[in-house]
Amino acid sequence: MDKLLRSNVSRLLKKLSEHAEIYAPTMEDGVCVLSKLVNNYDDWTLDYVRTTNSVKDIFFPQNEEIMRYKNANNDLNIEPPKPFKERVAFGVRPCDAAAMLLLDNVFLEGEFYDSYYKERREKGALITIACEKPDQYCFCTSFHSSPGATEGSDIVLYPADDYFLVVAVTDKGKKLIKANAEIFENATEKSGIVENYKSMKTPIGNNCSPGELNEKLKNEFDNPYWKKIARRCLGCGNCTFVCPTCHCFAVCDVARGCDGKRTRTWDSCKFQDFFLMAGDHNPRPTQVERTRQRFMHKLNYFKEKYDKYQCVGCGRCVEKCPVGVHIADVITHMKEEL
Amino acid sequence: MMNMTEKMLEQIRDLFEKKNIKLFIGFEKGFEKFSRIPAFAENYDEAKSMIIDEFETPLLAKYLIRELGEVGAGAVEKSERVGILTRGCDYLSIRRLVVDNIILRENLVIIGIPCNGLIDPKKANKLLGEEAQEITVDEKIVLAKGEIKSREINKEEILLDRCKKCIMSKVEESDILLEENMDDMEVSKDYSAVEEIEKLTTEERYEFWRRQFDRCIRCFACRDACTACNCRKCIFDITEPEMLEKTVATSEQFMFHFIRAFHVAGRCTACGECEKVCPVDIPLGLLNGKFKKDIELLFDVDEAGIPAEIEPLGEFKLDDPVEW
Repeated sequence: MDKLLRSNVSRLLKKLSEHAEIYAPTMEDGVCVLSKLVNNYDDWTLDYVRTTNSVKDIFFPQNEEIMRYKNANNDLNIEPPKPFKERVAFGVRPCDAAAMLLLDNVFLEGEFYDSYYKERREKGALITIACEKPDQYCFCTSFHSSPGATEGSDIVLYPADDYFLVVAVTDKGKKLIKANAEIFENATEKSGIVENYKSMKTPIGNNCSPGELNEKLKNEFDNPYWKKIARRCLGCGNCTFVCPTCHCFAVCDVARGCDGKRTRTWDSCKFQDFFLMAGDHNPRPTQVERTRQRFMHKLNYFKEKYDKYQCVGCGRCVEKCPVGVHIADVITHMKEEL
Repeated sequence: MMNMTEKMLEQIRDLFEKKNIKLFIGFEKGFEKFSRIPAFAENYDEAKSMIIDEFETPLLAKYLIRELGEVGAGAVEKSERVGILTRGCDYLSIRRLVVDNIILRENLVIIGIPCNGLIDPKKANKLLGEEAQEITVDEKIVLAKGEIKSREINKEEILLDRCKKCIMSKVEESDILLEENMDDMEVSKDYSAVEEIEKLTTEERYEFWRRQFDRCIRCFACRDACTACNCRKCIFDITEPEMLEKTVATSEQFMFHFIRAFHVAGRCTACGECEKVCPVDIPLGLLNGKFKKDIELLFDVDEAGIPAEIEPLGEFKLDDPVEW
């Protein structure tokens, strides 16, 4: 087993930056965001439970240019985006890493794949840091994960005194360590530390593990509970945008005359125009249908399709919701009721 | 002696029994220990879980638009009334909706409660160094107990940010007042944060706001939580023509935030809800505060944003000293 001294992290990031873009948790006006480091490889912080934005941002950004086009004198010229750079996300949490596997299901599985996402994923590495102190919003253990889980990560760092124990999870992770061997040190400690992280409990614990809830929810399209929680919902897109697994997007053209670009941007089922169709028809006319859609997608449709729940228990939506709409609350309520 | 929750429940039972209201909006406990969330009761039984205490709550006034329907757009019959639990901040927001002619005052039954600031449990956790299991409030001293530690904290220290800037601690026009309004809370007009920004050079100021706005994820929570944002169709929801590109480019972020701030200028009641709901902590209160400060200075009013029949930016004078 290897170890990485905390004092060597900046050195590692700087070294990695020779070939890759580096993303790490940084403090910006008191807010911890996962942001790109440019020449400031000391700016990373460990003072966070979860970053405000999830690691989804790096592989499926809020907006991206799909192509540029120019149509001068009927001579259409299409310019695809430039190839993406290698990228390393440092300081990801285990829940976020697990969320990437769910996005992989959506964007890479099946007959068609998403080439932009695929390229970014292939060129990306996730260096996860296990959680020392899950807070009251954390419930990864309800989704078969833990503060020390390795799923989805390339490397997991387990915080110990003044160093991290390093566990390489994938070949990509092993190569990364090998290529930077001089920065890592051999660790003689036993791996009890790792086990501690893996068996650590989160405050909400696994009480709200959905179990077979998806089966039961199939018949609950008209359950009055949706109306009850939707009444509180303000209709902002907060929960869906901070979510590491929400992946709905819109494609829109931004054109000036004959020149333009086609962009893909996140969209949210919570917005009133999300499902608006030509002729002003809206199949989800009120917040009730929209709220139901969000929870049904996570707890029913996604499970039907990929045999996993579309939630990793990162706690962002519940921390950020201004009116206390809480997915663990929904799960617990539905389990009791059904 | 009955506590405030019991007093409220008694009043709600009375209102439902006399068929005075069809709905009551208040608060109940949320999933987390100290979270207090909006609750809606269509009869007394549903209201039994409602609670009044000193923990952070969202504002309720905005729900009135949805529950009552707008005036002129299918507003409820005059006889159908909604009861609402109201603190000073909510009271101003309700006034805002009434003055803007969105809802009618006679459709409301306001149960007023005095307030001298709410507690932010997150701040208590931070000071305690762990998650508090028990928080008891005794006037100005708060006792927070965790699993390991317990600590006495000055209430001032863990006040909700928006409560520190409170401009209205009492409910002036309540139909039912649960407890007498407290003596006037000291309202200190503090524009020091705005002045700090004013002191910056244009470039520094631009850089400051660029950094803030670039963090914006365009969730529109600031708009959706704001009672002054009560347009029937928000300009940012219009898709044809598209007023705001979905692209989250810096220029679009500025466009969104400036239009939002301009649109509530002079009508913002300084409740601070926009800042509170922002998931990325953009200091929107600074923008709103700048407008408020300027209006107070330019139009010689004491407190800009207090809803009134005639407001500085809502009035037209033939002898206006400045040309159009």
